[in-house]
Amino acid sequence: MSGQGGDALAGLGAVGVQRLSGISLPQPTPVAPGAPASPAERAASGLLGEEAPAPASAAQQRTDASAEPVFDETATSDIQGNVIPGFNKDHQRFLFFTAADAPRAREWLRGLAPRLSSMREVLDFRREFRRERLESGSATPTKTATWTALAVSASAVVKLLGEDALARFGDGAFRQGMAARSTFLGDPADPEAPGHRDGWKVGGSGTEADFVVIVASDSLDELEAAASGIIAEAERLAVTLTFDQLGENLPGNLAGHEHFGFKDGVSQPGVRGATVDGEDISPRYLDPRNPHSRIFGKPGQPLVWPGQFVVGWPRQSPADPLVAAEASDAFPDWARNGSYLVFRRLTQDVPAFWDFAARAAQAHGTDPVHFASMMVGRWPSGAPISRTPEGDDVALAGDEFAHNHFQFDDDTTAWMPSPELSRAGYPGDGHPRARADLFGQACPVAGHIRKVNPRDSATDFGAPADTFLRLMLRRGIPFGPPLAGVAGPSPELVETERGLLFAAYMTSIEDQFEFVVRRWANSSLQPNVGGHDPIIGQADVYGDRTRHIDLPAASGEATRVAIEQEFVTATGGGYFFAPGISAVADVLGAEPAGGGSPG
Amino acid sequence: MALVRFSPPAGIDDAGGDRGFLDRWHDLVSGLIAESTELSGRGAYLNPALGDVPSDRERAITWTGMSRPLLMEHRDDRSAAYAAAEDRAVQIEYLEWHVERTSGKISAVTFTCETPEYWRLLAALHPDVVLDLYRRLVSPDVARGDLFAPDGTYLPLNRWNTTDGAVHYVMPINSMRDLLGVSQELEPSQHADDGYDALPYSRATGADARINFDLWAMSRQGHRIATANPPGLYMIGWDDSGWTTPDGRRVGDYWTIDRGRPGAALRVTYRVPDSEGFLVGDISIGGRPIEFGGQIAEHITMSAHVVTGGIA
Repeated sequence: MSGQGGDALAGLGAVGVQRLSGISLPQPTPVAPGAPASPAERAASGLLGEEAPAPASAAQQRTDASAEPVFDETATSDIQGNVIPGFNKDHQRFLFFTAADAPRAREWLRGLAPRLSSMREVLDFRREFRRERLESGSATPTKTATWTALAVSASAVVKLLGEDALARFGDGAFRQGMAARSTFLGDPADPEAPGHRDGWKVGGSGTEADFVVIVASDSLDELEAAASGIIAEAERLAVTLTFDQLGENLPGNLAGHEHFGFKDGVSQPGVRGATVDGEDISPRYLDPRNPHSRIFGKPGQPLVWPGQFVVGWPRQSPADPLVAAEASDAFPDWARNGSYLVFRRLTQDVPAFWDFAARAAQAHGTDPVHFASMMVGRWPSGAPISRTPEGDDVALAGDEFAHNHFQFDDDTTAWMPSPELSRAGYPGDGHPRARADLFGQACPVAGHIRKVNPRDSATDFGAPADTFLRLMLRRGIPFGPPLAGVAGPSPELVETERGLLFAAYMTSIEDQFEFVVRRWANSSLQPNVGGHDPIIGQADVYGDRTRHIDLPAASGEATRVAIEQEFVTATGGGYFFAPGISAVADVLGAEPAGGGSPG
Repeated sequence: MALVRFSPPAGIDDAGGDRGFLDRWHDLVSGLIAESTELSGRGAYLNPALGDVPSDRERAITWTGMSRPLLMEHRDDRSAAYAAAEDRAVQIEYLEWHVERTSGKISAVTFTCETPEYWRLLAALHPDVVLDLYRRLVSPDVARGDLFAPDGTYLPLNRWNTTDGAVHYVMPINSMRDLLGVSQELEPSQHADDGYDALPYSRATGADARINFDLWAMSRQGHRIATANPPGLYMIGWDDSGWTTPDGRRVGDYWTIDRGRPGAALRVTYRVPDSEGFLVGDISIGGRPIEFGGQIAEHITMSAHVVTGGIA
């Protein structure tokens, strides 16, 4: 590639983002085991500040959100740590296996179970890392860890527990598998087309895996050692490695970015609830007197009831973010503390993306980086285009309390940090605020981040409360060598495959992952009229896969830009279930009573 | 700017350009807007027939045709939601449908988003047109006595619009009155600074929430709002990607717009041409056979349209 697109791509990452530093968070204050911490109690305990909130209205006096669940020791040692809070390691191996013999596969699972990393283990690490990061501004932890996660597919459930056991999973998409749902997700129906499931490296027609093991480490050497051990033990027990994918964080200033060059994973939902030590799973950083403090952890981070991600826990109400709905009963008993894992291997055509951005930018009278940022909704640094429409803002990008604080429809008001955060040294969010952008002049309605999380906007499925039901815990990582930031790349480097290993946890594949992909990303009409998601969206109108994005001007006139090429192509995937750790050994790995299937 | 004369939905001309009919339709719509002014809060929602409305831009407000309340009630059992949705009385998202079956298998589904107000008026002024339309749209067997009482009064709950077909809405809160009524509910926006502040939201339908929240946001920002002309409810689009024939091929375009136009369809039939040799019920959506009309309705996007601009 060459020209303006190539220049823009080569220039990415030239300037590093200066992260916040000098902030000293205190240790969480323990509360009595089993006692849910209300906002007032948290405030009194110093977790949110010294001043108890002063409810100003009946609505504010509602205390439903204070009855957040407590994750006791049993839960935090059972829930896998990649579900909550997530591994987020620089080096990860995704190992896909198929079992030839159920009894030996069970033996393998019994041996693997003690190696799986728990929520408790990863929370402990994250707490220290967060303190280090905010203190030093460094994204590199001083300690290292290597962790392991497991998930099983529908075929594994059948092999190990029988057809009846699979039937007790209410999510039809899980039972069917991703390959069967591929064209529903927008993948090509033509077997000859790139992205068709027949060509997938894993999870396609005839290549569906029984198990995926994710090994994650801060050290590549430790990763290799851990993965090798797992593979060797599996092979010994006729559990065959069918696909092995290394994922790696991009280097240098592009750490945390995906291959197009944009900071990824900035916006994640927070999980409601606390540990028995009184530690919020998702810390609360807004002043408790702000009504938004009841629905956001960090500014812009929606607090979601844990049952949206972990089986057996209260989940989100379709109407009210403060009120929990009952846990889903569409699971077998042994699935408690588990979570569906959606994996998608997405190959990215980086040169094509930047060539398109350059051509479209020229036609639109702007520069390639700005146009590409409108497609994404953030600048390459991660700064939201809603807050800084005219140009990137690395200071905003480096402020982790500010870079996700914005709305789309209305002016975004200032937020006051909790007294605790202020005392820790946070100077406040003085960055430019997002202005009302109802019609998408700053961030196009079809911009990727607006498509997949419309935030305060209504959607085709109702009020913003509904959008909380659609959020997922994303755990993706890039694969392949970067092209972004490379001046004069060799033809071999340009041709080398690269992309994203999308991985996300949830309790309804249909209402979360599939909903967001099919109903929003792939639609030019939903959640708002304005075009397709130009990054991950796929259109298929009887074989015509042309997409478009509308770019409105201040005058009200909109320019429609056709997108005739796809920049992201599925090359693998699968629907899995990540069980609680106890169920790996005690249920999936258990020898069936009497030699038959436990059902 | 000239005052608006409201046209029939999608500009359809059933009355052969009859001026009297068009005037009555205009008056009916205008009256529905005027009736609800007490809900209009700061007065940002205007009747464009009575005064100029700055119309810098038109906005399509979209939602899903399948009942959201049922999908929420049956969060863990989609099939139960589809089954329950076959009852016209719960087809609450301004989309109603009628399913035809052959030996138990779906052979066609007819979708309508036409309002009872329009058909009542047409029946009052042009009963022969209504009879002809019923015969053309539903069955040649429709008799005048099926549609009209002996005194000539139109019977909207006649068999060809209920048990044996769907011509226009029969669900009680699907109507032009309800669309325009919800649109004028701008008062609650004064209690919220943004969409999050407006939660919790008690109504379960996607349509009501969508209309309320979109118009509240416009109102908060000082925009004047009015219904676009022609006013009405439409099927703005549908998505049959990932739908497959019995032998696994991508489906063809089996949609027929019986009334309205692409992007503003009023009546649509989904039926497989005889030449294909299979029925709608043989088609799979994402690998699952179509057993209920709601499975198709879930992939139909509804719309209402407003014009907005200026500062109130």
